[in-house]
This record gives sequence, C-alpha cells and structure tokens, in this order.
Amino acid sequence: MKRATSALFSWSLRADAKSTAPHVVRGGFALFVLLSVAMAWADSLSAVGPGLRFFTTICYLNVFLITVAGMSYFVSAVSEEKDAGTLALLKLAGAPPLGIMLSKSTSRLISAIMLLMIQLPFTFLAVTLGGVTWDQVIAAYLALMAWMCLVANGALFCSVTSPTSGRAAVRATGLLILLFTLGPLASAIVSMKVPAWVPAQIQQVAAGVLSAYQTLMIGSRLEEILSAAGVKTLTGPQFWWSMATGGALFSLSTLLFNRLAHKPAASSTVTSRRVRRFAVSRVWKLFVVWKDFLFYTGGIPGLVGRVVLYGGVVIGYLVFHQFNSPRSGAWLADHLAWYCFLTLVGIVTVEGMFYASGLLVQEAEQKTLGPLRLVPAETVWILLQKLAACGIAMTPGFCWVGMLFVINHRGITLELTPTMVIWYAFEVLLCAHLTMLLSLHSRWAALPIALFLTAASNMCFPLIVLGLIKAVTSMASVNGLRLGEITIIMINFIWAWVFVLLPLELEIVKSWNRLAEKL
Amino acid sequence: MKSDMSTASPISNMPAISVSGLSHAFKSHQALSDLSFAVMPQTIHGFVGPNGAGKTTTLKIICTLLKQSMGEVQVFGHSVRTEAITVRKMIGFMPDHFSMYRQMTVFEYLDFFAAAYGLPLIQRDQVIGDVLTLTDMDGRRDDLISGLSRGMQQRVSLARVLVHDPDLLLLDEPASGLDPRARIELMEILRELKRMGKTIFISSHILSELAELCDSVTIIDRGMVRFSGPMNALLESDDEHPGYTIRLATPVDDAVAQLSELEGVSSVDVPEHGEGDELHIQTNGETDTNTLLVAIAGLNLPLVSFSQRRKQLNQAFMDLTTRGVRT
Repeated sequence: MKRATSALFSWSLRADAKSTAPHVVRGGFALFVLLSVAMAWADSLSAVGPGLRFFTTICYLNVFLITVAGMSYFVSAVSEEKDAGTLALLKLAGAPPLGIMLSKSTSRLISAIMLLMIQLPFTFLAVTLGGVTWDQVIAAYLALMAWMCLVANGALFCSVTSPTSGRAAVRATGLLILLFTLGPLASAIVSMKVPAWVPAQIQQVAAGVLSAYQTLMIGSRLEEILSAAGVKTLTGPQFWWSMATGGALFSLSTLLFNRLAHKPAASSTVTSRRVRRFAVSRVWKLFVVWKDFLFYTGGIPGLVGRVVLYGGVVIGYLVFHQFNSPRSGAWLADHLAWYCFLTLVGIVTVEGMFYASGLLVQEAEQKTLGPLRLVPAETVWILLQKLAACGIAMTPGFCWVGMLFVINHRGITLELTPTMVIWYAFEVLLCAHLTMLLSLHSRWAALPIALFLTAASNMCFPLIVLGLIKAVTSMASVNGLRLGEITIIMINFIWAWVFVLLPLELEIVKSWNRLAEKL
Repeated sequence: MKSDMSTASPISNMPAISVSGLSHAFKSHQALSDLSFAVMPQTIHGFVGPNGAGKTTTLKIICTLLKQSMGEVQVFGHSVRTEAITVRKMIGFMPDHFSMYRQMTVFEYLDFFAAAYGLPLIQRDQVIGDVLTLTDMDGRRDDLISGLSRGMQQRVSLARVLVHDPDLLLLDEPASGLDPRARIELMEILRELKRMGKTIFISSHILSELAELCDSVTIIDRGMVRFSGPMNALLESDDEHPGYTIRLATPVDDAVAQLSELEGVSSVDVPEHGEGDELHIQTNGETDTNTLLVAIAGLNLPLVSFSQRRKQLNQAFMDLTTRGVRT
C-alpha cells in the first residue's frame, strides 16, 4: 500500500507542478496581495490601522478562493480518474481506497496550502503597518486552514459519490450554496412576523440553526478574530467543528469508496416504448433543438417538472398570503409579489447557468462534436439551436414570471427599475457567455470561474456604464436631442453587447471549432 | 436509400478526392509534408501507414474538420477549404472511435442525422429502413445505443454515414475491435456499397483484407506519400521479369530439371518455407504466361495450381515504411 500511495502521491504533485493553471492563480494572487499592500500604504497616510484593513482583505479573499477551489479544484480529485476511466487501473496497480484518497486529495491540499504560504511575507508587513497582532494573524490562518479542511473534504466526498466531475461540481456547489444561505435564511425566519397557524417550533429550530451558524462558520469567526476585542483563543469552536467535520467526511468517503466509486452514471432514459413514443417525438427540422431539448434539458418530463416547481413557488406564496391575510381582497400582497418575483428570477437564473455550463461541453464529453460539426450547417446556426433548446426548457420559468405579473404587477414594478432590468440581464448574459466559453477549456471549473469574473466585472462596469451614459447624453444634447432613460440604457446595452458579449460569442465559436478538430 | 444510388454518378470523370501538395503542422510538429494523391470515383481506395503517419490528420482535412496549413484538397472538384458545406453533403465520415448519442435509440439516432442532412420527414422512414437493412440492423431499431455491442455500434455508425446517401465514404479503421465474422460482414457491406456506386476511402491496419478489398492504395509514412496507385502495381514483384509459383499434388523427383529445360525459364527453386510441393519459376522474359502454362501442362506433372508470383501487401508495407515510431 505504501509504495502505491507514495507513487500516486508524487505523480499527483508532479502533475500539479507541471500544469499552468495553479501557477497562474498563485501569480495572480501574489499580484493582488501586492496591490493590496500598495493600497494599505496609501491608507496609512490618512487612516488608522491600515495593517488590519489590509489583512482583512487578504482573509476574505482567501475564504473566497478556498470556496471556489472547493467547487472546482478539490472536487475533481477522484472524479477526474473516473472521467479518464483510470480508476480501475489504479486499483489494479494495488492502490487501496485510502491510498488513492490520501494521495489524490493531499497533493491538492499541499498545492492550496502553498497559496497561503506565499502570503506569509505580506502578513508580516500587515503587523508592521499596525492594527493587527500576531495572535490575530495566527488565529485567522488556523481558521482558514480549518475552512480549507472542511471544503476540501466536502468536495472529496462529492468527488467519490458522483459518477463524473461535472456532477461532483454541481453537488459541491449546491452544498456550499446551502452552507452559505442557511444562516441568512434562518435569520430571516427568526426575524419574520410569523402567522399564528405556523408552528412555533419552526422559529425555535431556525434560531438554533442561526446560533450554530454564527459559532461555526468561517465568516463569523473571522469577524470575531478581526474585531477590536481581539482574540480570546487561537482555536475557536469553528476550528474544531470544521476539522472534525472534514475528518468525518474523509472517513465516510473512504468507507463508501468501494461501493460508490465504480457506480456508473444513472441513465435517465425511459425504456418503455410507449412512454418513449410519447416523450420522444420525431426529429424536428431544427434538429439540434430537438436533441438538446429532449436529451440535455430533460425533455417533456423535465418541462412538466419545472412547470410544477415554478408553479409550486407561486402557489406557495399565494397560499401563504391567503392564510396570512384572508380578508385582504387581493391575490397577493405587493411585498410578497416582489419576493416571489425575486425567487422565480433566482431559480430561472440558476437553471440557465447550469444549462450554460454543460450545453457545449457535453458534446465533447460524448465525443459527438466531430459528427455534429460535419453536418452541413454553420457552427453559429448549431450553437443558436442549442440556445433555443435551453430557451424552450426555460419556458415554464418565464411563463410563471409572466403569470405573476398578471396576478400583481404593481408589487413588482414598485421595486423594479428599467436600469435594474438591463443591468441584471447584462450580468446574467455575461456570466452565461463566460460559462459557455470556459466550459470548452475547463470542464468543471467553468461556472465558478465565470461567477468570479462576473462579480469582478461588476466592480468595473458601473463606472464604464456611467461614463457611457454621460457621453451619450452629452452627444445627444449637442445635437439638440433629449433622450429618455430607457433609450439611453438600450443604447448602452447595445454598446456593451458589441464590445463585451460579441467578442465572447466569436471566441466561443472559435473554441468550439478548435475542439472539434481534436476529436 | 435513394433509387438512383446504384446508377453511375454524373461526376465520375473527375477524381473523388484530389490531394495536391498538402502540408499540415501542429505547432512545431510537421504532421503532413507535401502529400499528393488522387482517388478515382466508384473505387475502394486503401489508406495505409504506421501509427502517427498522418492518416487521421489527412482524413480530418478531407472531411473539412481540420483546415490544412498548405496545399489543396478537393472532393469531386469542390475545395474542402472554401466549399466546406457542399463537401459535407457529399461525404460520410466514420471516425475510428465511437461518437454516438448513447441515450438515443438506433432509429432516433439515424433520424437525427437524416434531419440534420435535410431529408424531409416523409423520406426519412424509407431511407432509415434501407440503411438498417443494408447494415443488418433492422431488428434493433428500437434498442438504445448504449445497450449495443461494439460491433453493433460500428454498424450503426456505418448506417449513420449512409443516411444522406453520400457519394464518398471516409472510413477510419472501421474494422478495429470487430470479431472475425463482423469484419468479414463489414467487408461484404463495403463491396456492396462499391457496387452501388460509392467511392470508399478506407484507412485500416488489417492489410490482408485491404489487399483483397481495395482497387488502389496510398501508403504514407512520416507525413509523406511512399506509394499511391493501383493495388496491382504495388503488389507486382520487384523482379524485372515475371515469376510464377506452381504446386504439385505429389512430389516428382525430376520436376525441377524438367521445368528448367522449358523455353523462357531462367531458374526453378524450391522455396524454403513453401507449402507442400511448391516450386518457384523465374522467367527470362522470352515467354508469356499463357505459353508457359501450356508448356508446363505438356510435361504431365500432377499440377494443382499455377499463379503469377506477387508480393504480399504486408511485405510492400514493410518495404516502403520506416522502422520505429515517429517522434
């Protein structure tokens, strides 16, 4: 066991050292830290405790990077062997489950710890700059290491239990979203004015969840460490809880390895001929729309499922309102209509992002890109058909949003401005474009990286958009024109499409064709 | 399949594939260097070479999947670079790996590609029925592709390239991984397709079968053409004058002496590894095959077989290609 584990471990380290992406991430991170130091120095001229501000930025950036690594880097530790079909070969070579898990996940952990190591010289600077003590630095790094242990082992668990890297990434992302939203959700329930018919225990449970969340989550722990009160203990409950949960997940993954690691991907295909005849019609003239609608987005059963899901959300809000205010005389209160709208848009966005992350790369995974590229149709036409298939699949979401407008449009339009609509549409489109493009280069990391880039772009775009709005208004007034708000926003949207989305679209087409050449 | 499939193509006077000065590089690696050859229509043309010789790269360029660095490639007179869509309608490419939508049934899979090539709905049933019959898969039309054996998937893959009735079939290792029966059946299907007027460009490592199947052959090695022409020309003996092999039913003591005295015979040898009573006759050019056969028959030897000696494709391949793996 020792020999196989050590060979696999050193091979994994070598592979990591040879691949470019981790070095690029580390280089980018070092550059960012350097910029933060420069900003902290500028702060030191006017503000008090620039070291603390600098160190706080570094800590939260670490939390973000570790979380993103959980959705992408750590999650493929075992599943990449399944994707390549080499897991059985590793077992044949005499590597036991524990050896495979230790070697594959430890090499990644070492690589991630190196990211923390490169920060050390800069953290010394933070102490020198003032506002932060050595105890705070050590406690923060211990908290971050515990968070990394939790995330890495959670991702490893998803990697072992999922048949492909794609599914593992989806599961890990879902778990992390759940982990981050549990606290705010519990907080919302606790502070809610709950109607009499709702059992009081629900609020008690939510209060318990909130309390545990505040004690155990990395965000709360960092707030505590970096507060003016300072550090009471180097290792708080968050450290021990994260380490214990990480260890438990590792043990569970090892125990389940043999049972789940070779489980093939479950086929969702209906095998009954009658059901199939109903579910799968003859191929449409838009053949790619037919294929992707039926075999990628779930087809008619999936469509029915989504009608029920979105309908359930709307009906849930309606029922809640009718129980809460039976004599209001309205279908839905204004504020509930707004919350319902946000919920629907949120689910539609998540649905769209998941389609975007696998829409193009699924052809490469099935090795069907070559035959599809050879049909007498332009690549752009095929890609547009793929988008149309996703559009059809998302129809239930759009229809229920429309239905909500019919039920209570006032509650939505009170809050919603045209600027918000255009901004959100642009951000979602940008994220979807980036996801599709990145999915052709990195199968499992596409969505997290696209989310990161979209969030980063969100910091720059408002300034550019404000500048463009000013420029358009000035040019219009010079020419004696008075433009309405919507016209200005539309003009800027077109500019943003031409300068940002169109180049991305051209790159997607090029990358798709390049990928087809390799198959 | 369309009823006009068996009729001669109107474009039969121009090469089905014309490759001239084709070169292609992947970064610093020169995959193809100045490749030139032609494939005549309604023939089966073998494409042979060691691993890494550039066969798949050439096939990808011909089928418009890859754009060449230099040179011109035409399919029935249409440039693969500038008229890719037209070329795609004329070809059916079967790659060496399985590339199928495994969650579809056989019928759905073929229906998908029939629609992709623009066949109207009313015609699709007939065409799919025909290609399934041709590939002997009509009993499995409702089976999921994921549940088919490798040989069956190979047949479905072949059926897929036939649904739009292309004039040219490009087959990359179509028999790899098939059992002997499936291989023989595949070769029969290819012969039938040739009879129907198709041009078949086939890359394979099973040389004995190619020798029987192909009308012409191109051998490439290290990105360069080593031979391109009719199979007969390749397999002809290197000797200046023809040689023959005869087999006798029973040993005859003075057979070598009798044969050596015949007019036009320069030497008679007993091969070291020959089968049974085999004798090699080398002529000096003063006699033709017919005259020699009549003369041998006149000797009253217990003759079982008489054939002109030819090289095996294996031997020709080894003579023309270089030892070792390309780096």
